[in-house]
Amino acid sequence: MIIGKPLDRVDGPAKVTGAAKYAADQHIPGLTHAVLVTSAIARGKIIRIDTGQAARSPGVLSVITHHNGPRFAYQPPKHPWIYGQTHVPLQNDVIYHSGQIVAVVIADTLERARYAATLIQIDYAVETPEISVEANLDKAFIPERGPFNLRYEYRRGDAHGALATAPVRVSGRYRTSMQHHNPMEPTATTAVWDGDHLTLYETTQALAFTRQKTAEMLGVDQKQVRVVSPYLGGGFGAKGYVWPHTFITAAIARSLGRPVKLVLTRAQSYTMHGHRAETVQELSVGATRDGTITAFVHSAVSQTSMLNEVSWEEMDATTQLYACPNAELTRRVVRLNLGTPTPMRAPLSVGGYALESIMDELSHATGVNPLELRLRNYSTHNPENPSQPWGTGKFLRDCYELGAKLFDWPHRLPRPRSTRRDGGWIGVGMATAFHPTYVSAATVSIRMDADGKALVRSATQDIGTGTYTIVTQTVADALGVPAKSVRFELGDTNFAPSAPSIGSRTAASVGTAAHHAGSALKDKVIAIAVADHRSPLYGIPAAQVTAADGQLFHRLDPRRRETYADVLRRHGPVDSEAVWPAAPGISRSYGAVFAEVTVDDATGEVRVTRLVGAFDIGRVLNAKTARSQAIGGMIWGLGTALTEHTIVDEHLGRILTANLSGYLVPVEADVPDVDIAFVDKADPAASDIGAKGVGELASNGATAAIANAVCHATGRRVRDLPITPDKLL
Amino acid sequence: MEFLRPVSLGEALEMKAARPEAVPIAGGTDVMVELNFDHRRPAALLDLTRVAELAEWSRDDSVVTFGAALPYTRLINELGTDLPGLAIASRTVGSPQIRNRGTVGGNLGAASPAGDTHPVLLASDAVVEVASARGTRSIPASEFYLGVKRNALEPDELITSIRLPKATGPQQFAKVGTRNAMVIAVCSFAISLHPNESRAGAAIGSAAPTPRRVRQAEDFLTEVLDWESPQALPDSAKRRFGELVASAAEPIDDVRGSAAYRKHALAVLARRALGWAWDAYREGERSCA
Repeated sequence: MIIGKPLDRVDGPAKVTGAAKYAADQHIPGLTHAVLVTSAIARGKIIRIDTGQAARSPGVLSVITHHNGPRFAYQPPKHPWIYGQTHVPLQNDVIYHSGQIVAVVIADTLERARYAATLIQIDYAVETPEISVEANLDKAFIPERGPFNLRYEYRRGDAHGALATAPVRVSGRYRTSMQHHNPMEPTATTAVWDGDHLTLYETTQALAFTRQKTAEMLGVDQKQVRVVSPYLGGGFGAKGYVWPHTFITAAIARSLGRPVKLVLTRAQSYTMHGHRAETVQELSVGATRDGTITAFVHSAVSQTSMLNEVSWEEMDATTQLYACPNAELTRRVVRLNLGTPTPMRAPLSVGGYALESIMDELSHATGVNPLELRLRNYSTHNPENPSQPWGTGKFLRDCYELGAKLFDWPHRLPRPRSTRRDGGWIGVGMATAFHPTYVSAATVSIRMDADGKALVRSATQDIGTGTYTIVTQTVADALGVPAKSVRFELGDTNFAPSAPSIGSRTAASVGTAAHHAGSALKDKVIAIAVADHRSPLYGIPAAQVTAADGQLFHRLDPRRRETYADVLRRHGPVDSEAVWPAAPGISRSYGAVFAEVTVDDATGEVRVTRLVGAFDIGRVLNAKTARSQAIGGMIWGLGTALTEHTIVDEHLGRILTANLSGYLVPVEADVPDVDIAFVDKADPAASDIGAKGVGELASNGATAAIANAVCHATGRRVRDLPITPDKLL
Repeated sequence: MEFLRPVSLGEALEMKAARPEAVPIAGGTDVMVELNFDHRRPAALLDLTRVAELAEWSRDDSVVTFGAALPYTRLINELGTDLPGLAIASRTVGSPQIRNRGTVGGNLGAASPAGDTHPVLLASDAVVEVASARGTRSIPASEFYLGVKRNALEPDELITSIRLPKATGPQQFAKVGTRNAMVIAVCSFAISLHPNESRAGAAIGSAAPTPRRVRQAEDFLTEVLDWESPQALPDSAKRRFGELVASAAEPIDDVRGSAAYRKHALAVLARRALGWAWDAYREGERSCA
């Protein structure tokens, strides 16, 4: 078995030697360069836009504004799903947020385009922007659910009644910040037309989305659009949906008759493809004195844009994680003059932070150890649907056990603000991690040539998580060949259609399709061999033939054997293809995260000194890539807890932290050694290979665990993220 | 934009005299950021990386002189023993890659109030050696910083070297950042003890329009520190010192931190750094005795 082994990334050598060609690395003859000019104001109108000087600047091929902007065949619908936002820039003079595209300059070199972009003069009629969630709470409303069917309201039982009569009641008002994805690879589009066929080299987490929506906007058939994206330097949601810069670039390339490349600057990435919304959440829990939860009432408000009513910050952990008969959830939005939010990292993590914080507050109120409190309220069935047992879909108990052991979680917690070391307060905290994970249709095709090597293809993506590697392992096992006999190609819509890399679905969906395609190919070759009188396997019932290490052999008499290559040299190449799943599915991943912090009570600086995560992600397909993903997710959780927030100027509505020195993603020196454990039990209900999602799950839990540890260290509950030093003084 | 590449200091000074608008560049860790963000577009860049003498250093019994283009990494490795305060501050600059490129000369040229090495240079009585085709002059660090990103250089002058007395006592540097590395200081503080003069130098960064010495706090230390028979400092003295340091600050609110937090944190950093330095001095006196 190769599945589960910590195989090194098969794409590693290409990436570290620079051989891997990312979207912006394509060398296209006659390539031109687009540079975006963005709005300096957050609300108002363009009165005058003077492009004369820019148009006369050396090398400039075209300057595009709303006066001469591309007109599209389609208007995206009201609700952003697949389209990241409704608004199509360059169609009129209205400004909805700072950083909106107001002009595009195309020149023969990037430098000349950048220079010309600075020559465009714009006069605005400025209006006062709305940029504060808190100041607009009275205008909050419940959005329509939209095509993604987001849930904004839920109730079971009588949550308010149960809360009113509960012997123990705890309430908290939690705030989480606007955040940005910040993948290392900048977002890029290169549009190349050949007649009426378009090739897009695109940074996308979803080839099919890009193809479908670009075709729709441009009024061409999907078959005329090819999207290529073999490598991605992260996406985290920023590259999940289709945003205007992509189809605008394609439209300009078409009208210009030249290939056009657009690479967003880091600053532009703060306004071009969404962000995690700021939220204000009020959460109450009712319980008996022994900590048995009787009610949750959770009410949240998050920011949305002037054009779109949407909140991706789902809060289903409150209604699905713990056994609790009465629950009410309401999610509302306020419109601000900022861009449209989009999923980031893990949509449930900001609601999960509030839930796991109030659990800690309940633990303080009842005196029940935080771990014991969670076990006391453990759900074996879906609290939203008591006839549905979690079954093999939930090994959270194992996570608690594994994590508590690794961390050496104390059965008796010292009182808050009672432990000091090296001049700082020490505290520990824990939290449950919870996230839904999905599967949707993936197609994987395999061709095995006469040399016995398998070429595997699927129009899916590797966003940096290890898709190349796990599919290679899966196919190698299904075929019974060494991993080096399998080559996996992805990232091209010329391959069979496959799953998007959003919602933690790639491994389970594509992995299972790969497994089935591999098994089917093995069966085909066995059938050929046993029917071929030249084969040593001739006449053996197919069911008694199996394969290992590139050899097909009789189970009962392994000396009767030959290689795949032997069969295929006689017969010629063999193909197979599999699609899985037949219908989309949802499952849930779990984890337990434990943190220790030291808080300097004089400066308020928080240092995370230990971090342990134990996760139930079904069957682990690659111990190394899964571990890396888990560590990365927990570091994000740390960032959300302590350092990351997008700061907006309260008068101008401009983002003040639109770079990596202002928006603080944690660095090495902020991160302690992170210990990871996996339950590694298959969940056959999630996927045929027993795997489910890990990416989103892992960035849940750490935020609340760290916040809880800070409270334990200092005796102060900061309910406003991130917990910067000034909040602890 | 012209890219001038002198190979000797003389040539560099002639170029600078002929093109005073040329912006000197060594490690480029500040200049390149400004160019990339289009904050400035100089008509010429004066590349100093080929001028060998700017990356050299020398020392005698009491003084270390190092070239303005000596990268932080070399400063830490080669001069860390003689200049411990500067080494501590240099280790907090950026990342290893940035420390391989960045230089103290660049820190001085940029004269950002947040530059990490400034408080140490001030506290340690550094002298900035500058030169032009007209000649050379020595500018004490305390007279070098004139305003936000403004320094005492004439348009035709280049920073050639930095001269510091070898440490004769313990030195400390501390900063608060919004994360543990790759960060611009929220505020910073440096102290250098000068036992042979029975005094201490102290300075703050990122807490006023320029890095600045905190003279009142220094005077306070002259009064309270007994250099002959050093005693443990009472907490009240450390606190008072911290207050005096904080009172010298004129910080602003910005995305990295509030003015109030900066003042508070400076007092803490000052109190602690003094404690560390003084304890080390007492330890040293005892072991010598």
